[in-house]
Amino acid sequence: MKPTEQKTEQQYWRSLDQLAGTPEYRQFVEREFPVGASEMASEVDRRKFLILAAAGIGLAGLTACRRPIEKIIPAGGKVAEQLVPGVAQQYATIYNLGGQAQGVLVRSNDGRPTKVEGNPAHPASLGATSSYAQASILDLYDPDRSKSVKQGKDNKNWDDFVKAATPLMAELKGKQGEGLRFLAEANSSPALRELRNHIATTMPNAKWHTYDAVSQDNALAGANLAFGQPVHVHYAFDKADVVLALDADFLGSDIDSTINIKNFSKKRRTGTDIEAKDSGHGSTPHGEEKKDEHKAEASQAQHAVPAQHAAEPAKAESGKEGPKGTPTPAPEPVSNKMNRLYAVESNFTVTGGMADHRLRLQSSKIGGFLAALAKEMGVTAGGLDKHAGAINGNQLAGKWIKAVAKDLNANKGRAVVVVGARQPAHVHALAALINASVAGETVKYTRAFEDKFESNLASIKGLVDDANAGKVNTLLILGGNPVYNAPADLKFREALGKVQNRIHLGLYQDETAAECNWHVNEAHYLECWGDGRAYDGTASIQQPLIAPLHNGKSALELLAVLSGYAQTSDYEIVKTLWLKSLGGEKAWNKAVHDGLLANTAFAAVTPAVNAGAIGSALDAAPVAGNGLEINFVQDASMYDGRFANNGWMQEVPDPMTKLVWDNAVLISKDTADAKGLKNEDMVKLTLKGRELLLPVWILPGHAKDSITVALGYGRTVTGRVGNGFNEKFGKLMDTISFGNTIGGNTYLLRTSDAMDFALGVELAKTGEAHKIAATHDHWSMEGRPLVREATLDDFIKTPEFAKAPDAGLHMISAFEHPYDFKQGNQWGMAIDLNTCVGCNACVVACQSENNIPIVGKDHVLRGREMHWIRMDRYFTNVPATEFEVGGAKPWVFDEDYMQAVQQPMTCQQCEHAPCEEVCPVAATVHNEEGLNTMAYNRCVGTRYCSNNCPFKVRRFNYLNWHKDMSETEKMMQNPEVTVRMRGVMEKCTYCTQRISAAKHQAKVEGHRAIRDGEITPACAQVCPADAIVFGNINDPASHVSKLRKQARNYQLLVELNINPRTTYLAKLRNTNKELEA
Amino acid sequence: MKATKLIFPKWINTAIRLALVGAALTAGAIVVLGKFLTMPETIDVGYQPTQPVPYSHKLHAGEMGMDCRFCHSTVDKADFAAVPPAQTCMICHTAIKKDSEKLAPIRQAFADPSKPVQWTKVHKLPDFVYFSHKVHVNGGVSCVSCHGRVDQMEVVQQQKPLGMAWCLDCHKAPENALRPKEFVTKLDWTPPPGTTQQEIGMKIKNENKIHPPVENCAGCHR
Repeated sequence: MKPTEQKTEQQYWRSLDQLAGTPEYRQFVEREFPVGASEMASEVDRRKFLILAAAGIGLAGLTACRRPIEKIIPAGGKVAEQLVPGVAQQYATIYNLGGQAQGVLVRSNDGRPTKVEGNPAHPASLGATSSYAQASILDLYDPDRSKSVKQGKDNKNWDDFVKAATPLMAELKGKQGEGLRFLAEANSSPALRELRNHIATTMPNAKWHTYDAVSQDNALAGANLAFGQPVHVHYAFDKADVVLALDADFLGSDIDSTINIKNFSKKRRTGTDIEAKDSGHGSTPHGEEKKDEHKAEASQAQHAVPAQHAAEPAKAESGKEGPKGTPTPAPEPVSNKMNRLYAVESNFTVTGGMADHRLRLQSSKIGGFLAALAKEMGVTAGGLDKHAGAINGNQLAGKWIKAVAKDLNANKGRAVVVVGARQPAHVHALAALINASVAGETVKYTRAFEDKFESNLASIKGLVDDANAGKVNTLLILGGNPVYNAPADLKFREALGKVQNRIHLGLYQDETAAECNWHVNEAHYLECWGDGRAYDGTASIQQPLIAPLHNGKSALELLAVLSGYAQTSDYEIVKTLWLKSLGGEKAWNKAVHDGLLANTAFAAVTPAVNAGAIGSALDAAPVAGNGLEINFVQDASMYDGRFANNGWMQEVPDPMTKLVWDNAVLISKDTADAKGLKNEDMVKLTLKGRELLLPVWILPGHAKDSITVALGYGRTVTGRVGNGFNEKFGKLMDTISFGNTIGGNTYLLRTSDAMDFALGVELAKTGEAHKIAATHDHWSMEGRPLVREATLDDFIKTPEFAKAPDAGLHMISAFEHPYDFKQGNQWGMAIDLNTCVGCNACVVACQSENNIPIVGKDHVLRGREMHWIRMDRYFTNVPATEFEVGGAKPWVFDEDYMQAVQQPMTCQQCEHAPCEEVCPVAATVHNEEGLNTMAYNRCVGTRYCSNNCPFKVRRFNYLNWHKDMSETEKMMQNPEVTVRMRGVMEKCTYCTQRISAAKHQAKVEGHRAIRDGEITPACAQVCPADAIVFGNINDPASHVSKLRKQARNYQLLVELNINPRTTYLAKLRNTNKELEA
Repeated sequence: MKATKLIFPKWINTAIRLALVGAALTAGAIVVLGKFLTMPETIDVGYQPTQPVPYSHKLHAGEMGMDCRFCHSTVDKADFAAVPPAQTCMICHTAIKKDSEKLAPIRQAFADPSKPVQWTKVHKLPDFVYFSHKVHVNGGVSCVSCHGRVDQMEVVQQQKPLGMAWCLDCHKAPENALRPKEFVTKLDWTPPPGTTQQEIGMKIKNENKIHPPVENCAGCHR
């Protein structure tokens, strides 16, 4: 679409280049494969390659005649009876992140953990997980993990360490622990608490410090302020009809996001809660009837597209007979229940993308917004006027405050205000005050893990001050990487240098390990016993699946040995502790089996809000000034930097920016234009005299006069992945301009007085450019209407709106396949765009289940990424000018009204698959269950199929990505899925291995039918929103069939007559009339 | 004197024709030979490696009549028919022939789990083939169909080609192999008098709706 063309319909686009139709964009999408994708990567040119290949074949030809000898090695010794070799087992355990335990079930194939899944019984999982938990298994097998104890640069072993540490600890014990300090990350483990108590009694002068770069400090401080005690806030999004999110990415980076998404999605299944009327058996939603039905609708509803202005047309469809005489199913009764989400934020987050209305506002002004809102709502507290003044003059915000206040007040008891972890304590406290009047059941409080609140910041500051004062003799750093991520002004590295004995326990030999005298390699969570608490307090047991691969030790073992605790093995410590409260072996076994202890969640508390304290805090808090603002945010992939050496996380595109292997200065289009910046321009950031180089990336819809930088990049001491180097393919990143790091270390700008955001940052263009790999233009859909959305009102008026945009042309396939798709199991999938937030968990889960390799930044730039699920993020904005039906005013790009739609795009399993028709060797063919199958061993790599795929979901192995895999990485591969080699095409299989397994099981169990829900592909299993549903579409009672009968259900590219088996449920936005532009 | 042109003698025509025919025949022979040499029937059938312990199936399964599943206990529960751990052997061999020289590797493996017996795999499918013992055995395909009369083998050898064409022969007409489940490990089973294999096979096939994948690539390849 050229900018000169005037469009009247709402436009959906993935990148600003696409919107503007720049020549670079056209050239990129018009090529058969992206520039460089088909070319050799290394200095070996084609000719030389052929010479080498010919020689290679000559030699290989001879050796290939010999039969490879394979050994079968059954276990020696005594064998556990219940284990059946070759049959995978699942074990419950927990994954700890940010001090919170998420229950997981981990699959073990003959003793090797291979896949993390959610634990349906665990309250912090309910069957789903975050993408972090999915990727955590890669850390277990990471060949760059710390493999030994180190003293300085020398390899030592555990016994050496114990020998060296024992006299030191004895001496410290003699001094009551004077000079002994511990620095750990947030941890809710009761066993660790027990050891801390033990240390506190035996060495009362020792001190425990806690530091996390990404913490809950503000929320806890806010609760402390509002209630006089630190409490955990739990939002019951399944009960909230109106949600106001203030800089709160509760569906994305929030500590509890898995559960938040789960609950939030329950209020978004609009049109589903009413059981479909059985519209007869002829209505199986595929095949010929469907086609005709679409044709009929299409002719009526050509202009009824994107919904924002879809008015009356295409109603009155019910009872209409299709040309073949099959009754078109009558539209189902539509439920109009749906929550409404308002988001006010600086960065464009996935929560903002899900919002029904989104206001972009500097993070520093959000306190002002809330104060003004409180005033409007009639909440009284001191200091409101002062803060509300900060947004004076912002007309749009003024309009918002009126509308949102009205909506919140009208929904008392069913409304909630959520404040993000980056907002200061007084904003949290003010939200608590507002919630006290509007929340009702939507907010619950429980006690926090710690009874007394001490902020992370105060804790590490205290440590640094004492170290500088020479009061610290021995420091034990238990996990974490403070040298890298402590606030820059504390100069942690220098302070650490003043400590005599520095001991570090960690998974990696990282920046902190490099500064310590001793490093102890830590056991991965799948290698050791432990425990933890979910955010709601539920006690959970961490059970290892494998003995430590590199003889690592857990924090529990290290502390127990050093402090002389009664037990020294982590198993004994955890078991002894829990047996006390459990009472018996049987209960303990059950707890280990379940992964949790039932009914141990903290009881809800109802603390009284102290309005006076909040008022005086507001009075004391300074009002935000003006100027360019910088925001430090947790990265969707790196978290706080701990995933730097995790290739899956480096390569999964950021949910909003679609950047991989990099961070950037995120900036709005208007601010960038005002400063003369464009994408990939290198800029120098200056904040309080500290400087950092970073490239620019324009994120349309970002707040004006504000920039966002992600934490967690620019690691200097990490593994091969994190250093951007890979032996297999040489440098993963030739285009690096940071030296030897991936991205820029934004911790260098982050100081203790501005941990979250700060005003007064300066941006100066250096004149250089940094090549950024962003995947949003890869596999472009060329503006075809793949996402459909409507407002709730329009949906109620025109329930079938999503089916409308059909060009009406139906191609007739020249190929007939021999199968009757009305027989037997016919697999299909439905994906609900109204609940999908784009959290990426499915992308990583798919990668883990299907042995999908990573390729590195340079190859991503060439368009060679291998993910089977592409999370398409479309930007759009509601028209800035009123759209009247028929009154066609031009649609214009307006950053004030930006929205996003996330669409997981994977093989659609077309019944008339275009890929199959062009494969010269029949390597991709259909089966009788409607799957578009891939026989890898037949594929010769012509790539015709990928070229003919209308959804661009096929992935080609340009290189042998699995070459030279380390022995530990080999252990991680799913044995049920072929590891593909070079020259082979691959794509989503609907997890055909899981289908086979279920079919085999059904046959063994008396040749029964497969039950609905028995097969769950990895993506559907992990989805926190339950947006992906898989099943038999031939069974009218199956979940997927019911979804396919819904009014919101639509197929992509109907006009091609390809009849995809995957269908989508259109997105809805529950708009507030008063805020429509 | 007329300048003699260099003219090929007449016989050269014949020679060229013969050479062409010869080349064609040679090429054909190479193709045929190549095909023959690389057929599973040629390169795989008859493979009979020496094992670290001279275990006799003929003695154990044949003469003593032990059931296959006594040792290969996972065959009806897992995709793989596991080779037994040393512990299984030691059930009897702690009492019988407990000092036999031949059993030394077994005793060593039982005493020290880090020194398991390394058997050589005889029946090997390519890595891109996902074969499930569980489904075949529970469906009524006998061990004998793929492994032959192991109960008569002193040293196990591969008797069937295990190639894709051979697999499909059975997948297209499973009635030729199906038998009641209880006789799956009875390698010398024959249909009772008065019935034929086809009749019995057809009955089982229809009762249990057995439709093995024939054109469905995903049945075995994924």
